[in-house]
Amino acid sequence: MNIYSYFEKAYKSNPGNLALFVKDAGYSYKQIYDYAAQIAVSVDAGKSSFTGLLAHRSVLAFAGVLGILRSGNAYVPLNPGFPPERLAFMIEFPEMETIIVEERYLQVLEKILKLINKKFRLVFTGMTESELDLPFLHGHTVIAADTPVNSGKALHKSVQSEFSDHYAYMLFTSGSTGKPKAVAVKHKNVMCYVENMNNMNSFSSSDRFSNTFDLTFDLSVHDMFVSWSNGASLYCIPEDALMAPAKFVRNHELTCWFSVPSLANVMDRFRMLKPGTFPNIRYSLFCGEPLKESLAEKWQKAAPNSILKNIYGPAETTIGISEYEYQPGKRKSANGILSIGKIFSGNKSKIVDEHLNEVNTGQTGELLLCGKQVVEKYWNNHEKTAGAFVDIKQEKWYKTGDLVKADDEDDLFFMGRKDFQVKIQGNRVELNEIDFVISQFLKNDNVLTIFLQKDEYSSMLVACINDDPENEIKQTTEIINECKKKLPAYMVPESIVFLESFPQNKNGKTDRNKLTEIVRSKLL
Amino acid sequence: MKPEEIKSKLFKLMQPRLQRLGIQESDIDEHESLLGQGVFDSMAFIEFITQMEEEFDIEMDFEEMDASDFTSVSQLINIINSFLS
Repeated sequence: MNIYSYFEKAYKSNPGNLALFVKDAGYSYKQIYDYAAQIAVSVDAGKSSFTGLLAHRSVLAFAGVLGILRSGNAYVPLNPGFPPERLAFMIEFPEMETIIVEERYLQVLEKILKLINKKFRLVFTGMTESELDLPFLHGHTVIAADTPVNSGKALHKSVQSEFSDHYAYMLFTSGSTGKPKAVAVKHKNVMCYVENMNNMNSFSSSDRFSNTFDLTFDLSVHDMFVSWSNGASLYCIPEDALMAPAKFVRNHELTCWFSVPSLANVMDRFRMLKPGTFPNIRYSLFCGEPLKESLAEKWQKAAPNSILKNIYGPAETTIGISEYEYQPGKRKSANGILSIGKIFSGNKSKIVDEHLNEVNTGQTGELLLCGKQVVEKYWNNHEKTAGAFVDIKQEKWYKTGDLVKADDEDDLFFMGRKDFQVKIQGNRVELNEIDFVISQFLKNDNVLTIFLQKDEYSSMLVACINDDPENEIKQTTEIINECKKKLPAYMVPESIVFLESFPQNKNGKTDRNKLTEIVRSKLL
Repeated sequence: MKPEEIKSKLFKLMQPRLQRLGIQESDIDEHESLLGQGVFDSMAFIEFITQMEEEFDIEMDFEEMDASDFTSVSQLINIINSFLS
């Protein structure tokens, strides 16, 4: 078994069902199956290596995932909106050899290739070989995947089925020392998650799943493989429509919703959560950020026929590893944040103090996780692995850095972070990574990025620099441009503040709270 | 309020962002999406809509709208106009 076989099984039982709706067009399981088969033959099969996917919210993005998995390789989603330098890192780090490229991102590809001194196997669809005769592609192996020759081959190619111990995908998450950390997840990790989901919920082939998440976010793996394992249909919400998705959800009668709470918050802000707005939704799932009880209450009224669940899980533990079902009558929360519930079957948790001793029920400590969904390490990064994974009685435990407490029914509550990681639209951001980029650029170690909550609906990143305030006007644009070159858009500070001095606490360290207040009074 | 007046207020609101991005007012096509033209990403655009609501003292309701209905300058002028008239 592997996760591709979920799709294949659904294809065999109902080839005519709608598998995917993207960019105003619907595709049956058969159409996607054939497309993925062509891509699979074009990707160098057999070796379990990491294959890039430079595609975004398109049929190729989804068929590409399936094609790469079918070929026995693992996919690495490359968001074309990321800076070329970051994409080049994501390509070089796992020693990628093959990249699938969507036609509209040829320019992005050109920029990336300029930064890497290596020849790749580049797979395209919808383009002829003569159209691909471009100077910057010379020297690379260029393949037009959807040629008739390939189609013939694809049909005869048998699919290797036993690769549950192989990697399925690799994602990158913010790293505090300037380079992102790579998390490689195996088929067996994902299969445990998908089976948990399917056991705990009653999804069916007539369900219509939302896809709000980008492929670089592992919650998209839920969208694809939970829906396809049920023979259901996946509706990719266009990027622009994510600002106002209510009409899309209603027009397409989506039945399973999954997003970060901040998207629901935006919908609330712009009056899309009126009572009874979404009568067709059967499941409302949220993950990626703390879910406020007040928001859950509004959503439940807007989608009154749905079961609302709060899911928790870092990428290292595969998509989600605990959930709490919201019940208007008896709900559990701490500081207004809904419980994250109980750990999924096949996995276990403990809450520990700084010496890794378990704390008493009700006390707050760091959450440690172990089990079938938990990865064993960061890819090719001994230092970060040693910092985040620990062996306890011959078992590998992941230290989440999340502070939680449990109540006497084993329901968990998120209480905060051990470090300076924050969530922006569900994306993990290590504030130190931003500091690092700016410090290197200015050759000034006194840089501290803070996360400023503006009001209930919005927040901003502000980079504070301990330097002559006169430099502020001159350097702000340069600093922001440098951040744009190195970091994804959601990590680029909105403001830069130069301060003569940073406030210090008793120990002579910078007082973050005081600094935040100084910035707040300056900017807001 | 005249459409021209609304337009100049909208550009005034956008000014800090345009300046930061090095975009000239004259570079902007009024009939094209501001997101498509790279002026905003979706989160920044939502911020902008919030400022716009405060400036004109209106309350946007996106329940019946597609994003493509309110992302260009000319569409925004029409929406604001419909509130004010």
